[in-house]
Amino acid sequence: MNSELSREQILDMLPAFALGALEPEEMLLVEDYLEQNSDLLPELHLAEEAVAQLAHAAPMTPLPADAKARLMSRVEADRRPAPAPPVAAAETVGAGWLDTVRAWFTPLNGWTVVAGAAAAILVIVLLSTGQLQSRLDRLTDEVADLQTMVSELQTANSQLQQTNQVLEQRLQTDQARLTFIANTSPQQTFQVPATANSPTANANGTLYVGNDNDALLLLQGLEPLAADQTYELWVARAGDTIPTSAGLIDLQPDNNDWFLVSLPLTSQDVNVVGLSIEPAGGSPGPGPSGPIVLHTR
Amino acid sequence: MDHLSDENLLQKIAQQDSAALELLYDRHAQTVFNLIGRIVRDMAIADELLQETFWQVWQQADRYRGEGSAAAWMYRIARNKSLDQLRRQKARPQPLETGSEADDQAVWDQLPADNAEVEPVVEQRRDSNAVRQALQEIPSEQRQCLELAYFEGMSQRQIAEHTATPLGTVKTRIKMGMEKMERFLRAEGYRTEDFY
Repeated sequence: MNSELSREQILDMLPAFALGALEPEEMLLVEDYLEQNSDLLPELHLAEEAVAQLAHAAPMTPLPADAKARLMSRVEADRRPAPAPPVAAAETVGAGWLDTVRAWFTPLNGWTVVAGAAAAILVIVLLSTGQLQSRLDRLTDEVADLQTMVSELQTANSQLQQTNQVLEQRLQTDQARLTFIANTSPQQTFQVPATANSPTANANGTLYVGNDNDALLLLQGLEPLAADQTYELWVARAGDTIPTSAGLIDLQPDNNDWFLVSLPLTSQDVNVVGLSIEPAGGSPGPGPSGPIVLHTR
Repeated sequence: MDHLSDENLLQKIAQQDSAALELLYDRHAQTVFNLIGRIVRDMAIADELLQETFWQVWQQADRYRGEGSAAAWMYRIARNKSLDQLRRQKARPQPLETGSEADDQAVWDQLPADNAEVEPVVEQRRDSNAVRQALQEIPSEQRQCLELAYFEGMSQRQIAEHTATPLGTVKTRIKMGMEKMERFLRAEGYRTEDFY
């Protein structure tokens, strides 16, 4: 992976790397390179310092008045207890005070002091535990949020992959159409106007027939059909009583209205062209079973 | 302790010195809060993230390894927390009233009577002005890319889509913008270590 990018390319990417503005795979490439080429680390640190300066460009916002006090209160509660100060030397204490100190360290009061210290420690531990629990709860929520985001991203990725497949199929179809148009000189062109059965008066088609059996059908003014119906293209020789099917035409709302078809007749034999509405799967008979909406005259 | 560098203060904080944390807070809390507020644009959340940033400094000061300045390390913590929050936010809340002259003046009004505490705020204002001046010298297209990357957490590809600009152009603008800013600051006599 190190050989994929040159040193100059890595140097060019360092500002964006320091900003965190690279794509994930680019970040990994740069990290990998830096691990193996530590001589670039000073350049990275320089870029990070420059990035840090951008913090000063943020507009001024008044600090909450008690923010410092809240922070320091939490910090003091978290601090380890300071070591106990040494006991003062007995000779510096007056007799009255010494008696008082001795009185405190009678067995009963000694236990009282120990109990008080234990209670204080317990309070500190409970406070710390409470803070840790609060932090744990917050982290748990963050993990749940991240898991939700991951799930949403996975769903979006799946949808994008499906869309990508559809677009690739359309691209292939369009490329085939363009290839036909670019490479084929039509041997015959048929204008296929609407009939009395056509749902719209301005519906029409044009069939461009190439050298072989390939042809390009252009439809205008026709609407997509219900799921249980389909358009079917028909061609016939002069004198034929029953036309031959040239295939089903799947007209969709977001399609281009160009269709590449493979004719059952050669270009010289095609004399009549028609389009009918049939049940899904096409006409059950040898010829059209439904209304003919376009027909050459 | 006022004479100690930020890096020295972090060493003391790693030894549970709360006074060192308090001094570091006095020096940098305003900048950190400005940064957080600019990203999340919500006063309550910014307040919480300010606490969390300095709490992390308190808890993890021993993880600072001296690679880069202590301030850059702290600002990175604040920025990462803010961008994580930004990504979690479903909709932007009401914006903070930020960036106005009244707010700048409000900060000055907060200056304590004790002159010993005035200097960190004055220094922060000078540094902000210097960086803003540097940004003004950068062409607006480059500046926009830097701000989108730094304050919005956008990648170069996202910036390209957001601004309807070719990706290669965005990459060039970011690279040149950062180079210009650093060169300008050096030409004005600033060294990066002067900031911190």
